[in-house]
Amino acid sequence: MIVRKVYKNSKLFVPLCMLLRVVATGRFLGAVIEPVEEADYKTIKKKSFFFDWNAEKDGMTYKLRANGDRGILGLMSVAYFDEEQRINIRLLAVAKEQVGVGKKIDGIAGNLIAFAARMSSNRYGELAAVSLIPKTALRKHYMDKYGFQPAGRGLFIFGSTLYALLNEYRYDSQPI
Amino acid sequence: MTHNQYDILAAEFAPEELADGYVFPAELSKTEQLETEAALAAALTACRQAMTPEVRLKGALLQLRFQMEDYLVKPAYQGQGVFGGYLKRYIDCLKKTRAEFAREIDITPSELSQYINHHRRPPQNVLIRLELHSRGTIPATFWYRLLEKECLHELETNMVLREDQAKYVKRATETDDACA
Repeated sequence: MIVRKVYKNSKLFVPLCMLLRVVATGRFLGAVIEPVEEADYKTIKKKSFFFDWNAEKDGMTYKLRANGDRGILGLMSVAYFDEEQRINIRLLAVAKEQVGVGKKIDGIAGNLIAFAARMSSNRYGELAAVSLIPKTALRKHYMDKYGFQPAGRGLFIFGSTLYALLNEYRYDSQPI
Repeated sequence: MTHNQYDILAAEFAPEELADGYVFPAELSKTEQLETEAALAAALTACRQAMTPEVRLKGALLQLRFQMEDYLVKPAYQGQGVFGGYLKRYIDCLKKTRAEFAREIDITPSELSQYINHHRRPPQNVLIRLELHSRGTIPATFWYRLLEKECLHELETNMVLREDQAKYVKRATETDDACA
């Protein structure tokens, strides 16, 4: 499947196509990640995305949707820590119907985390890092699935692990 | 999110499913927050000090690649010489002299200088050498599209050439201009 890059006419931000996997068929589906807009907040329901996303309005919040479909599949809020050259994932939620055994689309959270890695790489170059502060019970799973390393209560990805994540969720046919 | 709400989700989903669907908000005291940030900063400092030159270079090249990508998909045009600018930055990432780099891709230093200074357009074989030199981190198509973006802009905005060429068009198609 050819994944097309798309852009909207904005000089501030370039949405990027990434890849999701349709569970039933194993085929890949193009996805777009772009900033959440004011109008989106009306469609973001707590029933689907659990957290109070209105509280994230002042920060940097991104949505993931399938290419050609306006429905939001995942949300992520991040914060820059410029002094430490890292981006911290404050909050992430996949639409509830896409979590667990009943999900139809796989890779939503991975794509959002890889997108944070890309933003960090773009901003901080060779020093780029992504961090999050996990619930204790989930700590090992973030480490196993995405390659996060422990640091106190936090987790981070950096260097080769970060590059591997970018490669796994690459959004075009050119491997990095 | 309260602890109860987390428990509700945890009752519905296994931990690996939750980790595949959520990053929960950190509920830390001020002290815990400071401790966590200090631990992250210390761990990152240690990792950065232990970085090999190869990993460092990969990071620098990825940054360049992503910045090229962003430029290529944006409609904004940065002007002539963008190709040369990125090529110069590529050589800077390598921490090599231009002469060394020219040798590595088997071109002369003056040829390289012409590409960087927008005096000569590199042929496709050179673009492919650039891709091979970066081990595919920056594909030849990216370099080509930088040049293409310059050409498109020139074609779109070259009014002098349009005026000059008008004399060669003896008869234009007869269309209703109001519909254009």
